[in-house]
Amino acid sequence: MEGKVFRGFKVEANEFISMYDFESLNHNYYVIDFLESEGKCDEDECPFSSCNLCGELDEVIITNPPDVPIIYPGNGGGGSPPSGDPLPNLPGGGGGGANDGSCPPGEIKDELGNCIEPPEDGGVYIIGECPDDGDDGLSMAGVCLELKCPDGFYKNFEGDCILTESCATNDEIINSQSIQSAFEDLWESSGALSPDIPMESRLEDGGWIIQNGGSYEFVSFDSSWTRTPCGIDPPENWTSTIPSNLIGVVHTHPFYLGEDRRSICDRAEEEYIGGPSDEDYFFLTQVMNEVNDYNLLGYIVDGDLITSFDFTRTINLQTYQRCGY
Amino acid sequence: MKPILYSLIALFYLTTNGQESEKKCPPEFPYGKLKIELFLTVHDSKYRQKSGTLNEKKSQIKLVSNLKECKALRFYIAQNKIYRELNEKITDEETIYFYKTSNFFYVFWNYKPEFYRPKMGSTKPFVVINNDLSQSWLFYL
Repeated sequence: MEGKVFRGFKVEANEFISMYDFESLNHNYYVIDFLESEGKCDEDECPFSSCNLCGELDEVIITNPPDVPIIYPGNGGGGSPPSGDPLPNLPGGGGGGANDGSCPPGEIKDELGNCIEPPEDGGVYIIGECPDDGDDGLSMAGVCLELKCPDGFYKNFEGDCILTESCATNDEIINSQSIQSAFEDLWESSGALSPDIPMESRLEDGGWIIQNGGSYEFVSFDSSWTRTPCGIDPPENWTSTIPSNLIGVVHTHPFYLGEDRRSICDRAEEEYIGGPSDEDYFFLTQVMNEVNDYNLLGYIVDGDLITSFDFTRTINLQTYQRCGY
Repeated sequence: MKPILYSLIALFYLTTNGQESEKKCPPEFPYGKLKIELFLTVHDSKYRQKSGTLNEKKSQIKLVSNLKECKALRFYIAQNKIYRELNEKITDEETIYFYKTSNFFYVFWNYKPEFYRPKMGSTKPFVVINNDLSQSWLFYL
């Protein structure tokens, strides 16, 4: 598959029912293909028989169906496309329902016209109205939808729902449950849980990673440190706040790869590319000088990656797919 | 009459002080030589390939202190729309910095030494200019 594609699976009773491919164009999603499970391909045992994409698909193993990754403008019980719409026919069941605007956001109308919570077994239904600016909205046949990721997923800058993975890296600090938990807290306090959140309301946040015995702990930077979307500015006496047993420093970049930060960060580049800046490196080296320990590690947590770096700036730089938050 | 007089004095002060700073070369940045060294040694080699700085040596890194060179660099920055806009965005606590190696100049912006202390922040523009001022490249470091 090529391009910005969001793939949704419909699963009932842990059995694969169907698959939808949505193409993202300016954050609007269009169904570009629909595949029903009708058996298996003879050649490569692709689970999507009639699919002309068999040769292009990797093995798909569904162990735990995502709650609601599929959004489609259903017309009641069946979830079929509106008449005249170029979309392929969709199967009935598994949700359906519609919100004509009279239900609260996040609820749908059932067949009797009552507003109800959408089903949790996966399915196809309308979940809300398009925002005013049309961003992240799907507008088809006059119906506006909004893409939201289910629990356990996060939305990246492309608008794709990505499964939040637990950390299994070659870095035992990142793998530590307490540090994963700290990263999750930091990401939440950074206010960047979704690319939809305005950049001006996000903040860099961070703290110290210390080691006590065999366990790692996180200590937040003092509240006197000034946090902005584009940096963290310690006060003059910042060195007095460095804890003992320090092994690393972590801070967030509350952005997603590709985001344009120029409206919020002075003289920033057109697209956020992740990783530490020279300023982040100079800060780490200053901490190293203060504690006389040049084995300290720096960590950057952003919307897509965790990056670690050391005194070599880039030579030992490691990037990991976002995990634990 | 007094308001006009005060305005004239203020204008004279601002003008002369502005000219004064233009007549001087920028100061040394606390991490200036390290910043250039990072660019020449450990940053993405594509940057050095693109700018032709692959053979520049870190032992050659110097602060630009020749007034003619500083003036020429200021003029170059002012003549380029992108760099001029970057330069116009600096605050009273910030300044432009000039460094050089044998065949290139390096220009970046940061806090004045008296206002600088290490802080975490986003990448900033870094301009590489060849020594005859005929070509330049903009990176974010």
